Amino acid sequence: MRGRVPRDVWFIAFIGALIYSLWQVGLLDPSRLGRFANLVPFIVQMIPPDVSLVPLILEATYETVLMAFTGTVIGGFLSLPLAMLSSRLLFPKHVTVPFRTLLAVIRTVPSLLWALIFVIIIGLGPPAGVMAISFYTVGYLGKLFYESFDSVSKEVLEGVGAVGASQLQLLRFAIVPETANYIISQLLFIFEYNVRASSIIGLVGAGGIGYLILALAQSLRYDGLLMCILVILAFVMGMDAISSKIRARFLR
Amino acid sequence: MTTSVLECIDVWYAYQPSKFVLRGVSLELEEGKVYMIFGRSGAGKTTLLKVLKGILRPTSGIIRYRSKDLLSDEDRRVAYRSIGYVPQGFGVVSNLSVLENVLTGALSRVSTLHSILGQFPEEEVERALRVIETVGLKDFAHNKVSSLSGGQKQRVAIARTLMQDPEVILADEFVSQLDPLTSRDVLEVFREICKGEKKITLVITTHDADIAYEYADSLVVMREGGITFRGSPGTTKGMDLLSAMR
Repeated sequence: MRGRVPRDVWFIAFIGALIYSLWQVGLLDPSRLGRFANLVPFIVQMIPPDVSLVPLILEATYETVLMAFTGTVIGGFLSLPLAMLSSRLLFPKHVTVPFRTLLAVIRTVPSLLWALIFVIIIGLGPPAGVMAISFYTVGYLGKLFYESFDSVSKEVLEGVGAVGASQLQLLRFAIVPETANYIISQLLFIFEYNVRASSIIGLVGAGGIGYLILALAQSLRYDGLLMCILVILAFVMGMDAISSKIRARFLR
Repeated sequence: MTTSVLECIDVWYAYQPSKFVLRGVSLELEEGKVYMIFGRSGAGKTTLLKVLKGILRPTSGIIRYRSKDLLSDEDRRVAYRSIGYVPQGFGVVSNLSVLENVLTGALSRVSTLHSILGQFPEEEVERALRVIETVGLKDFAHNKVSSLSGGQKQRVAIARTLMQDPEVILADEFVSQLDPLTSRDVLEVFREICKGEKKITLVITTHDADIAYEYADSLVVMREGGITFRGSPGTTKGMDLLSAMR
């Protein structure tokens, strides 16, 4: 067909771009590639994992889960009114656009950066982590919630709206019940995500297991590091299984 | 003597500039009568109901409810409560119980704060239960609507509209999603209620000629945004309807 670039040209361009990127990030540099040999002593120092650290790790994991839970609840709570104000079914464009933009701005900043910002503002420790998780949750859930609000069937809105319901009554008696299962499912999903994110944000001093991982890595305690990874792995897998079962029930 | 409840005079409506879906529609609806509006898809039936309900504001024309101008904001608010509307499909909230759905019909009489907290006055709850019984769903009052059949969901929609205490009910493609027997059951209940103590004017859009002949007091045919035929089932022949639709 005239004007069409042959498929081979696309393929060669793609491979060229990949090689260029690998070269630019240093992954094709022989001196750097040689450093992969460090993997062997690293693994040797990790094994066996340091079981004596388990109580300390569990305590830090507990703190991480508390951070994730509190952040999810605060973020979820705040995202509901923001999602309502962003819903085109409930408000005109001049109201929804500023709130949608606000949510987009909040979402653009990753949780790690939010953690860094709050560590600077309120200092090291879990409160900074909770604030970071809350902010990220608001940006993420706010968008998911307003999209689900906007997807509520027109007939349901017309049916409830026809009785003379106010905007708030429409939200309470049509939009929220119609999207409740999705909202619960997304809350569980973001909680799972926040547990993982809480582990990471500790690295910048926002408390929890991430903070412990940082301390162990800096003191070259790789056996302790492995124990941390194993505890997180077991915990996240267990939580994923429970959460997916609950979510499946709500989405049925 | 018959009394006009709702009327529209020379109503025009366009979703896009100068693409008119309603072209000079005039219709007078009398108290306690059942109207069936016929017409092909795109004839303007749904738009007419939405304009009569006040969901859409006509491009031009007059709409009166009991001599009040429906296009003035103040009168519109009063009339909005007295005109019930059942949208295409069921328009009921699947995740709420039958009782909760029916109680939404009372929302305009309950304060926003109380209703948001789920607190309805005792007399409204009792009234809702009576309406549920009237439409034959007494045993399902506390069941979730998602667990009901199509015909039962339609009865919930009727009950919710009746709870509003309207004088006119506009029902869009009311039984088109139901099988013929269920359609008749639902229409029988609806007509009995409307012809009861409080005379309710019922306007239903439909594709089904048999149902229209059986239940209507007055037949109205729409084509390309205008009314092409009006008559009573007793004096109207099938051919009249068909030629008015074509």
